[in-house]
Amino acid sequence: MKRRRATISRGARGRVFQRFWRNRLALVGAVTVAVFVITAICAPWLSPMDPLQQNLKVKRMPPNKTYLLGTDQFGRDILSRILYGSRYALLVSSLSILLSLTFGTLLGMIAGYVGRAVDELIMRIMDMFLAFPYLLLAILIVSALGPGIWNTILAIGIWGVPIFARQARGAVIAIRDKEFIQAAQAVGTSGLRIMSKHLFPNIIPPIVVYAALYMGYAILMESALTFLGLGIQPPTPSWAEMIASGRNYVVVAPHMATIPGLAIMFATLGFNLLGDGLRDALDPRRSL
Amino acid sequence: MSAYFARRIALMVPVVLGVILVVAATLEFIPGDPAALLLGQFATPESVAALRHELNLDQPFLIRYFRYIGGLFRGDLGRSVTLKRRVTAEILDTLPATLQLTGVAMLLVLVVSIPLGTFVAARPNSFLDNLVRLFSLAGLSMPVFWTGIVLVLLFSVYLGLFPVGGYGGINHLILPAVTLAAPSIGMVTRMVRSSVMEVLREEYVNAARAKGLGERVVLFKHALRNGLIPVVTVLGAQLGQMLGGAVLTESVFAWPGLGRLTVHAIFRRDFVLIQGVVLVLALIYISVNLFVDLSYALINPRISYK
Repeated sequence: MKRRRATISRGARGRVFQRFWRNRLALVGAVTVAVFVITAICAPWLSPMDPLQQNLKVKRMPPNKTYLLGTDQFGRDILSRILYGSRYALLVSSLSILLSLTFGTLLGMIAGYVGRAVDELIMRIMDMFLAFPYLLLAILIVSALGPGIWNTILAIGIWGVPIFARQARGAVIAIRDKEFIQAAQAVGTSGLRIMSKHLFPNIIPPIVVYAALYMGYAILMESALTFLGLGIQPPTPSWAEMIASGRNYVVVAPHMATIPGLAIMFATLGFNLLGDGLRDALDPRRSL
Repeated sequence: MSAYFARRIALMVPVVLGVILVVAATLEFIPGDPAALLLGQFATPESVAALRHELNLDQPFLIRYFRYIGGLFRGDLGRSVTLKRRVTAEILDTLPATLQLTGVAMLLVLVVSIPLGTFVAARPNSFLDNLVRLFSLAGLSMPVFWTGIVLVLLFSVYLGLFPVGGYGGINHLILPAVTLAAPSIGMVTRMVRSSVMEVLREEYVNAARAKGLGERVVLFKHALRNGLIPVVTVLGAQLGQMLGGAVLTESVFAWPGLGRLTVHAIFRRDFVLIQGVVLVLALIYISVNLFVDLSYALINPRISYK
């Protein structure tokens, strides 16, 4: 029988799916993530009002029948701003993780497959970036390039590259010397083809788990940068910006700073539960 | 063992040089003239030229990189334009407050996570286990600055138990420390749980039970002590999380540490100050992780290092 690719067999895939399906917390995570994504896509149809429309006659109103989650210091509807805010949270987190995943996986696979000096060089450079405490590298990058949504994506993306590189390298080293790789090498398959057709399909599972877990981190990081004034700029509706401006009115209008934080928490929690569930389903021994 | 120590310390040198390189290189990516940007729109051409000279911007990058390293050895990381002070002096003034905050937060993590994680490891999938699991994940998922605001609202504004912010005695320390510790408590509790559960499956735990030892002795003496070994490495990573989180926590609680200094530098676009703070925090993080790795080698009898 001729098999061009080596991937998880159908039976194994079924078992993975079954294990995931039986894990209630993982399902809660999957549903939360789905709600988050659907909200982001459908925000214009779900929002009762224009998230940017100011009305100073109704400023800082607590939740009521017209404004279900209240209004902010400019009289803007907080519910609409939270619904629209999901778009920017999803945009920043998914694009930055895509960036980290693409470059990290590529570098990690090259390091793991080629080995020796190339491996040393790539991984020492990755160590350099990992040596920065959480958030500080991103602060350094965005404060150099200037605040804004695209530089935030770039900064979070760069932060994630070494994390995915380490993961991909480890996964490649684990299968590098297996027989199906040696067979491919023996018939003269090029290194590039071995990496893309034989190694890559086999390291997808751990990479997917990491992508889900780090989506949560990316959301938290974007909110931290935005809170510090480096990320998404007002008047764009963003959850962390709502908390930052609501903080000034925390005694007179506590709903302004507290409600958007719940949105950040649920979106992040969803990705954490999903990532956890995927990891348990793919590798039941390593359950946390 | 000593060969491993020497190798591990030697490996740190390129990482430290690399970190300095990254910090120094970010100045290159500032769009426009960093000196003009630092001084603001009312700067005279003379003052811009003087600052360009002070920042070595009139020199090629490599010269500037080596001068930055040289300055680091002399304790000179440049001068803050907005504070009109040397960056190192400002950092030395604020560092103790940050170390105090992160130290107390780390202590909180240890005091809460280790007993809690061990306790639920003995009762996997029980109601309590699921509850702790959910709370751990929630702690991991809350933005640090938001946790701080909510705690201030509950315990300072409504209950009046703690001051809303500022620096002082133990009363001022409790809310910021809890805020900073919350995500790490979630992370470390999960880690302790899974690690102790793994140890509980080992033969020697069965042997200890077969000897007739009580379950509490087995759990806390046999399982926990071995289960803590992998947790040590996680604690190093958590410190990095906390040093970053301190920026947010200190901003919420007006805590006069490095984090608040960073926020000041961000708002005033004082890039030299940002570089200095980030570099110092990265060096602290690298040193602590080195220490963690070395102690890991000492306490873990199962692995021999070459």
